[in-house]
Amino acid sequence: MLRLLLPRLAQTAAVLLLSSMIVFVVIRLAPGDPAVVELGPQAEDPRYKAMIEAKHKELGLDKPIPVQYLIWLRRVLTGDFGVSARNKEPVLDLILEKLPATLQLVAGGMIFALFVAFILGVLAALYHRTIVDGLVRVVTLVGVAIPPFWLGLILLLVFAVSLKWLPASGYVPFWEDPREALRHLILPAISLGAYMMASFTRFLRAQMLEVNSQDYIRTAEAKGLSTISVVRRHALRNAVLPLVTVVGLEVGLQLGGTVIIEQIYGWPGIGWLALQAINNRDYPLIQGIVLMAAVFVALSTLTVDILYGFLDPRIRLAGEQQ
Amino acid sequence: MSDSHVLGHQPGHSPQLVGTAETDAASNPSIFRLAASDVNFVVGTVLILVFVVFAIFAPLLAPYDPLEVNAIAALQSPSAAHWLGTDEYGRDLLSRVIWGSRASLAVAIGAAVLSALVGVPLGLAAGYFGGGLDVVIMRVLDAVLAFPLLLLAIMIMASLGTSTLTLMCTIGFLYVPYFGRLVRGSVLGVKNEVFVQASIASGTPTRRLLSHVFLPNVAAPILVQLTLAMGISLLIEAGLSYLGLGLQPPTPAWGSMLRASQGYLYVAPWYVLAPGACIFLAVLGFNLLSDGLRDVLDPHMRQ
Repeated sequence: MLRLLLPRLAQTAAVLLLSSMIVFVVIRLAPGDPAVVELGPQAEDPRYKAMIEAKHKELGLDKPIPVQYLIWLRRVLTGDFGVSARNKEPVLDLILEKLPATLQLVAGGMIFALFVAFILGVLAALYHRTIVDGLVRVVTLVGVAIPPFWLGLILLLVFAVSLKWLPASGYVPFWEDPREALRHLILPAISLGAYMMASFTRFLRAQMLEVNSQDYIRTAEAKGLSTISVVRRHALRNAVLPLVTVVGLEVGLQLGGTVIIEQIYGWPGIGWLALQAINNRDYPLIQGIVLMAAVFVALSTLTVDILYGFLDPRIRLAGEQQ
Repeated sequence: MSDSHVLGHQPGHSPQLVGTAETDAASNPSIFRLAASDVNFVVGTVLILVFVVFAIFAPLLAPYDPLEVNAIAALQSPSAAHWLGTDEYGRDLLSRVIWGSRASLAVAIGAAVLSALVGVPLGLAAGYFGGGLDVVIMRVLDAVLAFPLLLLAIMIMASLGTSTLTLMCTIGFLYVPYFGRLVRGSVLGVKNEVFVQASIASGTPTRRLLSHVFLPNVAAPILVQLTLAMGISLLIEAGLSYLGLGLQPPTPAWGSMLRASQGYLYVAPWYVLAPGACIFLAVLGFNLLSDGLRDVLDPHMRQ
């Protein structure tokens, strides 16, 4: 097993390193002198040249770029993501503060997506080439094409503005008041999860169809097992395995989606924080968030690959045999 | 029907090999007839054509000037004079939506094409030359893929400013890895075929090999992915405009119109519908077109 693991870990490390370089370079491309940002616009006056230069030295901006990168990297690896340009608070603290809200949102979206995808995907595969399949197809087509922000606005319009069943914005932590939390969570979770739901449904349906044509399914049916049993005991298990990979990938990518959803629903999470940072030109904060996101995606991809290796007995046994 | 089509991965299917008996004209029905009979292709093409017509003939089709402010007529509901109503400045929504096609389609198509122009050669190089070059290229592409799409986009736009060109380049850049992986996969798949080995053995120069042997076999998946890329680029551009980081007002753009409409959700609910519907239909059109192209160009995959 370790044999398969080591190269994978090295690959993840290499990718993360490259990602950090991308983040560093893009942020450096931003206009504006950080020294001026800190000292104030009046510092641009030539009389204060010495002050600017001293600031540059202090911030390490006088060194060549590769050296700056290495210094930055070393700080990052020790957990120092710098301080927000706006309120001088450590970036890492700001991120961790807003993290639970986003996690709740993403979890909600995932649960919604998986729940619906399982039902629709299995149904579509079982009732292949009937109206049920056609309907599911339409749902998935809409799900992947509909802009999440438009869906969010429409849901708001219908459920919060017209029917007034659900609140239009705000976040309630789950542990504080589960019922209120759920009421606030439903609309954002659906908005976030719609694309995932459609994507998973398609995938699951395809997997189920492929699995259904396998010999072991025919054997199970020939044995006289009811359809439900067959699905539950044989088909689903094999169809679900690759889904793990897809889910893992999506979790990371959904972080991008949260930026928009959080904006629509006034959900104070990482996405919302990122937008605030953008609006305030708070580059250290932007940098920190994007970097954390990349780390998160890389780690979730790695976890999924490892998990897949354990879950699929074929891979696990092959690894042990070596 | 297609699944997992973002990565262009089609499990267990080999493409028709261009240059062999499989694609001999006598044994295959005309591609145009195939295309015309495929629902996906037809619906997709129709949808896209509508928006293309909007984009090209905007000055002729739009009843009003999209930039003409008319404060007295602000936020009117749909009426005979204004089919879709007016926005907060009294500008006709129908006109703005029609004009919006220009900017959005331009960015979407431009970004997708740019992406292909960079991604395809990278994929060809990685697949054909293999070895160290392959490893380096793939790691760099993975590094770009490691970012949630939108986050990287907003970071870049915040740093480099929001001109249309930057927008196109940013979105294009984000999509390069998908083309790279797709082409590399195709190249690897075809590299070991006998006729390819024969060409290599007979001393065909590399450039000719790449352009005359590999590229034709990779062309079909590229085309499918290209239309898909256009749809996704449109979605990303709309998202960025919604966040205020894409096309800037007063340029009519569907995404920024949605952004404005949100503030008036309670007083002018119809405002939300038109721009969002356009984004949805355009993306749907590209997706269907992509599915249709796949159905037509690779009959192996038709179920």
